[in-house]
Amino acid sequence: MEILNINQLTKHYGKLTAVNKLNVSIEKGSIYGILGPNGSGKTTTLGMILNVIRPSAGTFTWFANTNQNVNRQKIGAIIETPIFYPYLSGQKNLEIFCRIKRIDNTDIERVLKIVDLYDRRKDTFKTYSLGMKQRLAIAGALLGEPEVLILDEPTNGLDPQGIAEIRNLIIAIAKQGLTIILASHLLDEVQKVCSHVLILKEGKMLISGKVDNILLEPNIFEIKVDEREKLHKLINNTPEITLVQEHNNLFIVNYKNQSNGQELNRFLFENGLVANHLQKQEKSLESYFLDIIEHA
Amino acid sequence: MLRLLHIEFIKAFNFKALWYLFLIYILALGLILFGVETFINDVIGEGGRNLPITLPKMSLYAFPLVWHNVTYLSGFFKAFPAIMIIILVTNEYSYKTIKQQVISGLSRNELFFAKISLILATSVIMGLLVGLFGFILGILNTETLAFKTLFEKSQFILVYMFEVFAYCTFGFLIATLVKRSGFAIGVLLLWAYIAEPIINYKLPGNWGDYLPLQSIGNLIRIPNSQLMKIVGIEFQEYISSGDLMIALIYTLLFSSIVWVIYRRSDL
Ligand SMILES: Nc1ncnc2c1ncn2[C@@H]1O[C@H](COP(=O)(O)OP(=O)(O)O)[C@@H](O)[C@H]1O
Ligand SMILES: [Mg+2]
Repeated sequence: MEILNINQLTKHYGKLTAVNKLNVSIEKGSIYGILGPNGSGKTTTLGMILNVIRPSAGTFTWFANTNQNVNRQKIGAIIETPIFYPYLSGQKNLEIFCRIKRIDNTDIERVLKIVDLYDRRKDTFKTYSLGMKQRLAIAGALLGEPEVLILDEPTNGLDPQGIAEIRNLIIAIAKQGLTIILASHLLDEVQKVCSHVLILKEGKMLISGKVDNILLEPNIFEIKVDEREKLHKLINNTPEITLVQEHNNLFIVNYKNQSNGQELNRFLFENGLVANHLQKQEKSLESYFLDIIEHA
Repeated sequence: MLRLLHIEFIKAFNFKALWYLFLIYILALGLILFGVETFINDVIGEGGRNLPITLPKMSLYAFPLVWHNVTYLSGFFKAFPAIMIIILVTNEYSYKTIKQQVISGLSRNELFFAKISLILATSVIMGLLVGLFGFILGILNTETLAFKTLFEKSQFILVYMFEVFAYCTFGFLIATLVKRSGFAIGVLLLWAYIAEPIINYKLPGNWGDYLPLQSIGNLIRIPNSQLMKIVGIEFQEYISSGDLMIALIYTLLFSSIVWVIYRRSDL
């Protein structure tokens, strides 16, 4: 079952295009990672699908259903830093969440125990450590037993112990069958936690699919041709081929499901292109991703 | 609506600064309401000594005149509830909780109507408070209590609630445009006590009556008193539907602008 469909979603901030014609489909039960360096448009994308940011163009549909109000009760989310009323206790903050989600206060005890904050529930939010704040945010997102959990950089700013805690928490939550959308700039976080991944760069999708296929067994090829524009067009019109990088006329592409250079060569030839250079890359996508981050 | 109001009450009741403000408001209001009569009588008593006619000792607070007098005087303290609203609205921006509420599932409309219900509740509370003061003062200052005259002019309390509502909506607009509490309170006070009075003064004729805060203040006009009647000045002793209309139009205008901002903006 399709949980979320994103179609040509775009956000402009003046001249900057923060998210550029994004298409995504997320299936029930997957742990979907959105991986990209800082400023690649992850938060903007999540903001749009949560109604916080108005899209410039494109659409998205939750649960194949257009009734926004019903939909929102099935979604729990945290975006960037934990946001709460600093002068209210953890308990009182979550009571506000319960009113918003139209549920009974009794669920608070359950979620506070999941994130191990039940004993501190009466303390005001401003006295919490960053890790506790993040855990309270996750507790808030879990209220009302949502079907989908959206997490934006949930381990950002935490110490190694806090990071491990949150990751284990996510994995434990995922075992209960929730669909999770996780945005992160950390490759190893996505590798450790996610089943699917989408890599974003400057608002554009570079590549998407199962983590195992993409991060571990990519089919990366280097191509050089004379007719640059024509190759660009061909890549744009071929869903199986995605452009990873372009450097001085050297194209680096991912050819989905095809590990054979001959296949790619034939495909190019059939489309009227002659490759001057075509070589399978031994470098993994992982190292390309690290490249991208370094140059960002 | 009650669900939204409940959300706002959790935020408001636990916010200490608001309680201090509310206490100062009650003290200031009580002091003025209870003090002003003694003051006026003293002044008249002093001044009256050299006059050929004897001025009547007056009571502002006999039923049913008390309702008009009390609501008129309380009108000078409208900035308090407006500041309380400004603080609660700008808090959502400084804590970024406006964004979190939408993330948690509140629609943009609900976000807006939560604050409208808060303003409504504030107006009713302020009205009841002034009503309570009025009732006590009335009991203390009416020589012969007759049930018939007790609530004769108590519609002034309702109009006072509307006056507070309208004024707070103006505060809501400023808070939404400016987003920071100190700055927003500054803009409100600057407009209310300096800018609008100057514009009012410069405008010809009674054009000033169409200015936003002047028109809201016009709802309950300065009450008549025995003294004024002797001097020969007559003030409007009733609520005019024209005044109500102007204030209502402004209230709708302010809230519509805020509504559009709430609907359209990135949070
Ligand atoms: N409110 C805004 N106004 C202008 N530019 C913005 C705004 N929010 C984000 N951006 C820009 O959009 C791009 C994507 O930002 P963001 O979605 O936060 O990236 P990420 O979450 O992947 O780090 C960045 O270049 C950022 O500077
Ligand atoms: Mg981000």
